[in-house]
Amino acid sequence: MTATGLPPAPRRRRSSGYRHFAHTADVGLTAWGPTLDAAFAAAVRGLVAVTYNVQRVRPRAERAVVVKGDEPARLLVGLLGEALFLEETEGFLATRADVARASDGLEARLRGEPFDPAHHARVGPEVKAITYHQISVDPGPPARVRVILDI
Amino acid sequence: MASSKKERQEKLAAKRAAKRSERNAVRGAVTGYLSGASEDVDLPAGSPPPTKGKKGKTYPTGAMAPSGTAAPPKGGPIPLTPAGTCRYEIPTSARPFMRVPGLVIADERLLEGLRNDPALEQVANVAALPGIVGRSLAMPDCHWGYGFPVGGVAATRLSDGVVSPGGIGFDINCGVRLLVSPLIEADLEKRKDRLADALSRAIPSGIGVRDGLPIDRRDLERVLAEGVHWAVERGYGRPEDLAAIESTGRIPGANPDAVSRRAMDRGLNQLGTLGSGNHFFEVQVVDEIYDGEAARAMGLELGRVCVFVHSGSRGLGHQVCQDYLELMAEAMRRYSINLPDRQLACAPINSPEGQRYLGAMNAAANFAFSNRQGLTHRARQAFASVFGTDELEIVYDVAHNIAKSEEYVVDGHRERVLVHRKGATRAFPSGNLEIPERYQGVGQPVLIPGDMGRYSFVAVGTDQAMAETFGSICHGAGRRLSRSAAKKELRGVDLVDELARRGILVRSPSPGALAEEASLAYKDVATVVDVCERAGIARKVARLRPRVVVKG
Repeated sequence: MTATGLPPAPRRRRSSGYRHFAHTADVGLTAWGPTLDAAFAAAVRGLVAVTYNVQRVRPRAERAVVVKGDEPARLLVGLLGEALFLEETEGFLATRADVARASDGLEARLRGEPFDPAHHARVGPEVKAITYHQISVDPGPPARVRVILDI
Repeated sequence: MASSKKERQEKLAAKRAAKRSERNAVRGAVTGYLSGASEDVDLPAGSPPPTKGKKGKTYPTGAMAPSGTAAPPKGGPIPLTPAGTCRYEIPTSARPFMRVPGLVIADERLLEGLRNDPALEQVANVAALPGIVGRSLAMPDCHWGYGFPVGGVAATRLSDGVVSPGGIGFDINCGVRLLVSPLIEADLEKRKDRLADALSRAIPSGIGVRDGLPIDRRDLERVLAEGVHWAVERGYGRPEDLAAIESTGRIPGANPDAVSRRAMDRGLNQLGTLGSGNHFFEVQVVDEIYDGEAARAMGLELGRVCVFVHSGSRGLGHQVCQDYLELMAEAMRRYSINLPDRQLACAPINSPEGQRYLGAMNAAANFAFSNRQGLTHRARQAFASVFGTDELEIVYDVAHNIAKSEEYVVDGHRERVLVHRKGATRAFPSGNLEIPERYQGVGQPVLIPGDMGRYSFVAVGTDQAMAETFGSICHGAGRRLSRSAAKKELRGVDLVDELARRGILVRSPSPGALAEEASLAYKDVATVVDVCERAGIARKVARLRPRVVVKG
């Protein structure tokens, strides 16, 4: 454990990924990347990976989302909220994302495909909500974010 | 999107190029967060993951100072003073911000488990809410939650108190419904397989695929305003169902206009769906009676086949909570409310924000009652296809995540208060006019779900609960192991097979994730219910054991 309470930073600056960790009845998600935008994108994949086997999802379709705000934590919760919304209302599984932050918020292209029970596997419970509990956004580099997902 | 497609493409082109190389380098088969929980994009094969050794670790609360959370606890461990049978008081002197004392209902063993849980700190934090009366309460199944502990009860004065969405939780009106069939265990055993299959087809998880009851936006608005009354009119229930549901399945004061478009969108495809996590649909058999008179009033007898439904307001309720947490965080600043944890975000009950939240919360609660009604409708169809009878009578339906306006004697005089119950069940005793007539003599049925391998309980409230806990008792077992720890302990165990050998048939669209919900992941709900009984706030009526389990 480092001084920030986060797992040690990845060795290579270009690496990007996510990890789930146990948090009482819920699931914690930490994600990293060379930039904050990349870490945000990895977090989107990590969110969907709680419920689905993301490795079988092909990035064949895309959805554009906009999140307004200036606080990084709020942007992260907003972006994950958008991905969760698409997952729940359209069955759209976003496993790749291109994120571009601007001064007043962020724009993202979420790529994936609609859930298909014949092709995709459910691997875990659905996420109810993205919480602000113990949320952290470290711009790095390398950038790291952490968020707790309510199950 | 504000910018044109072309601009967007230019802006993101460089990132995409970088991503392409990462994509090509994704390695290893990840089968879910429980089995490894990570992907390291573009590390060479064979190199250790960057967070090796940290798997499954829980970050201690306050280990860092992230934005948006409370600072690490100051003032040392929370002091607990024994205050009678299964009662421990947290004195107001424990923390400078406490307006009232805390009261923890627990025995020594449960208390041991709580000592290292931030829940006690949260009980103290809740005692700082403006307008809180009586005590900040923790039920025996209390554990850490967002802001409020799960298993927490707090009553605030209607006149000058606050309402806090965190005191209700994300799953507004998560609750339980109990149905009783005319069948006995022998009838069930003969066709248990067929019933399990019929139910697994009839009871959708509502995850990934659209399988909610077919409703449009106008229907949804009526669901929010009229609750189960709408469902009965639409043919998803019978007129006699209404009397057996808390507030007849329609909480007054619901304001559909206070529910965001986004929340409505999330709810549109989810009416009559189960959800996942600890939610379940179980066919159970009564296997122990503790109070014959109360059991008779509820139609429960040994060997009787029942149905236990545990579900809530689905995405609609989750979004309402999320929306109002944001709104209240701003409102707090406007009303100059300072609290020890930002997650206790609240607004005065009598403020526009407070009233709007309560309108939205009541609407979401009506959605939840209707959701359980939709599940009941689907269960009746499945029972009819297997047994030729759709007779499933509602024993009761009660919320365990909700805030309600009720009247209590506080400091010697009657006062109207808003009782926040987060993971706590309303438990009104006999003689209370709020409960159905048929239960006037015995008390309101309190439905307490256990885990899928053991049992669930039916209890009734007592006068003592009215005097001490704002007519509230526990809501379930509470988790013992984290999801990943449960999965780890059960690695290589075929849980479905093991339960089948004990006569419990489990159906789930994600059997791989069932271990998270196994018995060993939970505390024994019997311990929790027994403590409530010993404390005098509840009386056990019956115990039911699962025979068919449908998980989302």
